[in-house]
Amino acid sequence: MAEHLNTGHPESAPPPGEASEGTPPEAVPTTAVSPQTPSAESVLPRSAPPKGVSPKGGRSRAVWWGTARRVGLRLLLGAATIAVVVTATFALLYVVPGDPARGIAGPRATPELLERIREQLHLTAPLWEQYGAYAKGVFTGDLGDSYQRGTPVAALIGDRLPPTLLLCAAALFVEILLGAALGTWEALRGRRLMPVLMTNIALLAIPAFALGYLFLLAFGYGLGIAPVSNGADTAHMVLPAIVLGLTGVPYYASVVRDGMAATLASPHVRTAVAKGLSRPAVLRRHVLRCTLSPVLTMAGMDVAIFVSNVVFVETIFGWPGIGSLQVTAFADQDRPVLMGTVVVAAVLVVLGNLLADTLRSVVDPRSRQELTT
Amino acid sequence: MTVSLLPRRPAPAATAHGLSARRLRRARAVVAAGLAVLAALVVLALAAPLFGDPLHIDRDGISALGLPRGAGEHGYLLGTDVLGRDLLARTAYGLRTTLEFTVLANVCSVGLGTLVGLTAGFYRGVTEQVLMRTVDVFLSVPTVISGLALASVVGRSVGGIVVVVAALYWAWTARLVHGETLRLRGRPFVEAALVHGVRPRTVMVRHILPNIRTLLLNIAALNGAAVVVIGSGLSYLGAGVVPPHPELGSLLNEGAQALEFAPRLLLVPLTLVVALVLSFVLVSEGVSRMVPESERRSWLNI
Repeated sequence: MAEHLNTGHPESAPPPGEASEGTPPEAVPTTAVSPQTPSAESVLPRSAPPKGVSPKGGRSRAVWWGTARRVGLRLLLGAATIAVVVTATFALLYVVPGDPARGIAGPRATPELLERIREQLHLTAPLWEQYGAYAKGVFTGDLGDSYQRGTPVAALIGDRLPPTLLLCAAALFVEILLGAALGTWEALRGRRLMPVLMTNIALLAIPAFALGYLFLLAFGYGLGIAPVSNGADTAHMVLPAIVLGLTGVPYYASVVRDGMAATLASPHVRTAVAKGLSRPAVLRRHVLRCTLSPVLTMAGMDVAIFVSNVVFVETIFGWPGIGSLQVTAFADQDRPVLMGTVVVAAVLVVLGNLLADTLRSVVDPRSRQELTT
Repeated sequence: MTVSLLPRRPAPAATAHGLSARRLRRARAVVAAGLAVLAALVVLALAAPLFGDPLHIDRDGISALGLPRGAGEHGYLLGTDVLGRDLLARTAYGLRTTLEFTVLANVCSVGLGTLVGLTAGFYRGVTEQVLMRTVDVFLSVPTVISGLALASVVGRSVGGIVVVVAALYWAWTARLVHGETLRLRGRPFVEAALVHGVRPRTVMVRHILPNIRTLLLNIAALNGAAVVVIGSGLSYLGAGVVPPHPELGSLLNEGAQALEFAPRLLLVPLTLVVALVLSFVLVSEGVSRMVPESERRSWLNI
């Protein structure tokens, strides 16, 4: 019984021998029971905490366990994701194309050249050894050499990564700012507003590449206030950042609206209003922080979409990031660069998820007890 | 015997129950608007052969200065592209290709996702863990970037796009269907059916699937929008349909080369892409409005 009730927190469960001993059920921190436990079972007597742990200490320990377990699970899932991606890219690089050596040297290569390339890439070794070498390379930061340019893929991507991250940060700022503004407006009005609704539908319906070209035509060619050439300075960043940010606005707007509406209807806001706090004070102290939690969840889920739209936006505006690198690599059939970008992008997504999740458990104590989002 | 005890059509709870007539009418109007746009686009795509050959290069297609014909010149309703091919015919055929892969990829990804989500939510246990952790992995793979990598191996064709898009998008459906199945799994009518000895597969098809059809419709609409975006987006990046054959995304790419002297070449396919995505978004918006919102009052407005 004790084991069953504590399935959510095996590490914090006392050893079975101690379970029947003494302290009354009230001393048990409620946080030790996972929220998934059905209500019928929560009526049953709970297992006792280990001896010598005060109720307060037990609580904080349970909270820490919750956080640690959550972060641990996240790390494990992230590692699994990266492992799957590495395996998949290996398969696409070495197994599927038939003869990678011919892929590098082209159809008219001499047999001697093919032999030399096979030698260099260890293609004569058994497949699992090749896989081992590839995986080891990936984890030590060696993604192979570009077929086209001959330089290490890691260096190529390393050059292009900072601009992409800069663009993403700017876009995230635009996205959350605008999304939060629209969502808050609707939530405070308490009903759906036509202008917001129209904006949301329009932004959902216009894909990133279409919006990019519309902006380029309007502000670049039409009004002439934005540069139309390629470049990597601040002036060149404005349009792509706005376009990339706008594509995410409807999602954030709806998350903020729903989250805020739920908070505004909750008992703690009633108490805050009843004790006479002013509207701004209620919003600042009791509503905004609660709304931050779903926004962070959204941000975590959003990273994968973000990293995708970056490719379109970078191509349209000629921003020298990993997206445009990948499109060039595709045109050149430069597989190591293609696969290297996939691995790096997957790592970015995993790190982004982890960051959003950690921030969320710092901001929102309730989330520490959830096992998955 | 067993079946007669159970609701044969458990529709009201999931759809229009508890909605005011006005709201329901509005929601239906939104769905109808989306379907109307979609129908118009399908008709345009089906009528494509009427507009001529999309690959034919006419001698009159290019002006003496080497520029494409503008809209209405020389009997070309929308003008010609940089090589002198009729833009209307190319766009109509391009729309046809886009619709083809949209339907195929949407059916494949929603179908696979539903299967996985239902199985995971119904059988629970190890099956659920294995399936849903796989879903988690697929959800955190960036779509366009892995789509390009996958397309470089799968090859560039309509079939290739379908494979790539279905592989990248089934997990979203699976996650949503899984959550809803979990919720229904604990409901008394499912338990009753199982206790009566109805086979699990029958329970899934008879009792769970009909209850998630509103959700499925919504997913299919949203997924359709995503499939159009990602499919034509990959084509735009050069990873879709091979160039001489038109597709809305590759037409966008061709139009982008002529941005300075003939923006029409970009704007026509762009309008069609937006209209297609809009039709799916409207359907999804309307469907989700048919589910009653909980009317909670804000404590700030008393």
